[in-house]
Amino acid sequence: MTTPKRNPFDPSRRARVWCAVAVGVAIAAGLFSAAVGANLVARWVESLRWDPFDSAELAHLREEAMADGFSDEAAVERIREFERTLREEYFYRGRFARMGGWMLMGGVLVFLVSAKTAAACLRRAPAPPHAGGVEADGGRAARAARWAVVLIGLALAAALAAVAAGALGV
Amino acid sequence: MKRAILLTVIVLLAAPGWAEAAERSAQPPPAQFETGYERPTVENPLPRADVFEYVDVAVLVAAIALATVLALKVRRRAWIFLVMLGALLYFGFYRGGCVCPIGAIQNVALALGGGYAVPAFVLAFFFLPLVVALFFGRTFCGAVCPLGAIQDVVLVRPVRVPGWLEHALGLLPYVYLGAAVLFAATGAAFVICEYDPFVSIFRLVPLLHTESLMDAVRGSMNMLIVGAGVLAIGLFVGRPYCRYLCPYGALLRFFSRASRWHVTIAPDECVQCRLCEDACPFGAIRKPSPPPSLSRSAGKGRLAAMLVLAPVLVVAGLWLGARAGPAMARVHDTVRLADRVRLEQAGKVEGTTNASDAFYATRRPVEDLYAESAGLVGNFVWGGALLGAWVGLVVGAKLVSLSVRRTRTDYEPDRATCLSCGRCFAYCPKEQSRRAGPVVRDTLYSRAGGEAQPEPTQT
Repeated sequence: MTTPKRNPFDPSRRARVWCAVAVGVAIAAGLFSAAVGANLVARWVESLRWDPFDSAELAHLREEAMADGFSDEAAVERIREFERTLREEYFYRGRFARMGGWMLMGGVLVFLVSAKTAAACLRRAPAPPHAGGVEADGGRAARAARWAVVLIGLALAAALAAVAAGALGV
Repeated sequence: MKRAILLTVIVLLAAPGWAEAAERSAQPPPAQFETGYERPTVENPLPRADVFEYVDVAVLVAAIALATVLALKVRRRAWIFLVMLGALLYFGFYRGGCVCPIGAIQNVALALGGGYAVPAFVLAFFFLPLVVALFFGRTFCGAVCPLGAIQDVVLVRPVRVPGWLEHALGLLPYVYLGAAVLFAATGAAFVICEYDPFVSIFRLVPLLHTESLMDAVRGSMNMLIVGAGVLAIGLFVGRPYCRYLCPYGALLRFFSRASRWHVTIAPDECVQCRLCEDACPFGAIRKPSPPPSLSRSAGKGRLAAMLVLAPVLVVAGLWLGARAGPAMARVHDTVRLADRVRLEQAGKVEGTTNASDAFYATRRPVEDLYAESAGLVGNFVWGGALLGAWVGLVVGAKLVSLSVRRTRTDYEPDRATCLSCGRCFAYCPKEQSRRAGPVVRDTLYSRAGGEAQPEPTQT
């Protein structure tokens, strides 16, 4: 008994492989984008605390040099060198952020394209959904919606009352 | 027809590049130096030429017209998607999300408050989509709005939001609209622009060319993170900002309800196959009405109760809003300054602020400032009352609407919430039959032993 040869170009098989590749790429691109995004946000938070033009060490060096009337050439050179380091750091951070921005954008684009491809190939043919459930009972659905609207209304009233009482600090 | 559409789509897609090239050519040529000195690149952007405002309006008109034809006549999602991409590139990434009809609400509200003349092109941006929605539905939302487009592009696997939640969250755009109009009309703030989640993303791309990205986005980094969060939700919930926040969408809903030539799911008669039931990722397909669970008299009683409740809610909102007015007035710079100066004059705080220093430097009498502040607080009391009444009206009207018995026999798009995106067409077998054309259709029917069907009429 011989097993029939599987056609390697079987469309359904190709579709399955294509789908698996798209899912894998989407996961990888998603993780990559999340990592780059987290790194950028972390750098940004750090940059809020770091001001190269407000360095305590630089101010100290300047004060020392000023006390000598900037006559000590070595001290002046140290200030120049330190300032240059700070500027290099500043521009490095800018380059880092710019490169990170491009990498994030590329990662997100790859993620979107592969995720949409994966979603498209995993999509099933349209079929009528099962009848029944809450949706089939118009009365129950409308009642649930009315209660939800009442809750939102109460929340809005509470927000207005809080503003009136000055609790929200507007 | 198809060639004309293709040409227009290509023009729309090329619009950002063309507009940038045109703007560059509008700059003066560099001066010629004999010394070998090379003029450095100009770092500061030149003011935008006035003519480009009209270019923006022309692109808006073309894009809305095209989107309307594609949604109502051609009925092809792929073409609508292409127009949407073009609009995203032009109005979003090239124009940086400004000017847009959503923000134009505030310009119009400020003009209604007095002392401000709205530029003609801003008025065009505000009214054009509304006029189109009045006749053809929300084709602007479906294919032209850059905020909608960026959310549509990222939608990967839509989940269905339960009906009750959809109804409840659907109230928020009206509240946001009321608050935005109040703050804009009183000159306090343009909150829609300030809290626009996507403008930072649109402007991020040009900023990638600058030397210091961090400095450039520092001011709006919070909104950038909010925007990224909204887009992350948008992977699974179709257009969350449009459905649950957009104040302009609230206006468009009003106008779209009356649209005479709105898109339909089936090109002619609905065959009730139910295939389209889950086609819409925005929950905008209304199903045939289920049999009523209450007797007619009980239904009427509940409706009457809601009709009585609605004015009560309006009055309650009016009272609560008026009480909140003075607190809301503190959003206004002048009111805040007057409060600060009053505290400084009374010696209740130590030192001064930059704003109070600047005020003292003007040598303006303090009484003038207090009088102006009192006038503004009075405006906010009235405005707050109107905002509260508006919120009460919206909640009351929704409760009444949910108590009205509907008699719907077919699956049809909800004229208020449907964005005319064209996704539902592909699910309809009648639409497939229309696309197949008369020859193919007749062949299919004759093979099946049936008679040739008449040509369906397009709507």
